[in-house]
Amino acid sequence: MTTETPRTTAWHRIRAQVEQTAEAYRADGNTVIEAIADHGTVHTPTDGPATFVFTLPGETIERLRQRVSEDAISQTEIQYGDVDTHRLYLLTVQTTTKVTVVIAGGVRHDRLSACANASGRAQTRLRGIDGTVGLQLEHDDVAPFVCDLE
Amino acid sequence: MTETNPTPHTAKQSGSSMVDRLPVTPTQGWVLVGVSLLLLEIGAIAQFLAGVLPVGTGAIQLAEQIPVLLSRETIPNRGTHVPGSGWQGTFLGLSPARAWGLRVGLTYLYGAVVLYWLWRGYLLYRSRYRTADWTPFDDVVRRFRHHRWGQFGLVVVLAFLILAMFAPVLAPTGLEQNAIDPYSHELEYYDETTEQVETITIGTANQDSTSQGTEERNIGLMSYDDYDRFHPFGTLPEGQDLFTQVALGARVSLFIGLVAISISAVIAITLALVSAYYGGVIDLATVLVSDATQSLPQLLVVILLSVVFAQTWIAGLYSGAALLALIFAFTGWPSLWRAIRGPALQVSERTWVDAADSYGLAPRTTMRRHILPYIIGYLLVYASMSLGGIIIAAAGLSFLGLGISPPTPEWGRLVNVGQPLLTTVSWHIAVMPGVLIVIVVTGFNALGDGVRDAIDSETDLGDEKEASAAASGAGG
Repeated sequence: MTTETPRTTAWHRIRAQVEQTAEAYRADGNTVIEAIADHGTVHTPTDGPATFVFTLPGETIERLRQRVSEDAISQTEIQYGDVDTHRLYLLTVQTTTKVTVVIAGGVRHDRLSACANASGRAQTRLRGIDGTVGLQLEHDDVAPFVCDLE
Repeated sequence: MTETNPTPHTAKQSGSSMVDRLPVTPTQGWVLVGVSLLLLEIGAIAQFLAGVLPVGTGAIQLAEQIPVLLSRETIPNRGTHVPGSGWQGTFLGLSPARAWGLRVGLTYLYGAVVLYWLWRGYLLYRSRYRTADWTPFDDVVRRFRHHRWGQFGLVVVLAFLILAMFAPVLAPTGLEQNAIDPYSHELEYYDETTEQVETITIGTANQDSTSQGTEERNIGLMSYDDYDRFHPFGTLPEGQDLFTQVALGARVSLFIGLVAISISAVIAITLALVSAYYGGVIDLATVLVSDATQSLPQLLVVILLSVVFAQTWIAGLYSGAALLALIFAFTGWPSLWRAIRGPALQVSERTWVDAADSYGLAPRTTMRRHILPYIIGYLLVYASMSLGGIIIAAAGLSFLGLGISPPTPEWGRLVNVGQPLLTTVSWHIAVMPGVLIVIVVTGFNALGDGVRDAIDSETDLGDEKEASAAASGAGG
């Protein structure tokens, strides 16, 4: 028996949003790869950009490796919502090859606090539980990930 | 997706063809065997529970009325040796020693069959009902099957458990008639002077069967007294049978050990989960309370609490064993908590716990589902090892005269009783319970070693000698 909490409610909404977004892109004739990250965190090295890491199911990672080329990425849209101790993200990645990636994941606020005042470039790594990287995204600005953090 | 692979089904059918010819399924057969085994000894089980739990004399008397296959009444070892007629009153006319040996052998055989039945049940579950082909527990079992030191511990612990559970069956005589109220019970013996079978109270017979440290007054190991009574471990200074006291004393030790370790484990695991999950102030507070508890000299606290609670109703439960168990539980949890705090902290940092959190799982659920399974193995290991320590401590207190009140038998008190006679021919009084304490505590420690190595995948030792060396070397 899982108790309904603000976080579980938020996840239900995010899941619904992932499905709606994916459906909309499919209706436009895109191939859509959608997934909910099993785990999300952020690494903030002193000598590099903040890296958001989302752990996805193995089959999603395999599809990303087969269908998405990093060179073909044209735009990444980042939406977020804060709930309790976590920030939940919804990433929509569009490519020039009509493949769209819709990924949702949550990161703890206390992990994000380390890069709350960061600026400059950022990365997003979509990886499997075994460390296989399915897709690595380069962002010009970290601000969309960390804005409004206390 | 709808395709099926016929191979496993074929293999299972051919593998179980013998079983299929029986009118019952393997599960039904297993249940039937279990019910049969239970019915054979339902009386003994009821007596054991009535003896261990504080249920009152009414329930004990009720339990004693249930017939038992393996009992002193069914296989009697008490008899009279009449010259020319052999043994009268014993099972099949065997000598008391042989009749007692037969009963002990059958009891341990019964215990072994029950354990084998449980093992078959586990294998049945694994092959027929478990959905997963493999679980980490399979590897634990596999590694333990190669761990000889751990298996030695398991055998000792199981032998101790059988001794405790079947104490009234294994004892050559009853505690009530032999020690508590011997003058209300009588026995018959053949008097060589009158050449007739005479009757005497057990109390009087005990006076002639004492072990006082001299050749004239000593009934040693595997001996008969003048009244044809067989004493496997000899007699006490007052003439009571020592083995009876040792067997029933095992129950007390087991009760104290299990109750104390169970309460300690519940406290330790609750605090370990909460402090590892929340950390911060809660963890600090738990550390402080634990350190404060550990900084008190445990023996003094135990003695102090024994004295403080001596006049309360708790001290009356099971002749003080319940009080001792509670004292050991509430003074012993910090060491158990410390042992599992580290693993709990490590697991609480793992990504799956973080993931469970991010999905909004209630903290209690996260702790139970995602942290507890990973530390329960450590808990089992340390609980097994601590159990031996509690048995020693309880015996130590009784040795000092603070533990279990007479006439309830206790191993430590038996050592105390025999201590003045240790250097005489009546050495058996102190040595036999002392040796048993050492063997049982070693057994629990060996079992703990074995379980620890079995749950630790890095100790995957294929070589038997290597495994034994790893287990016994410097405490592992």
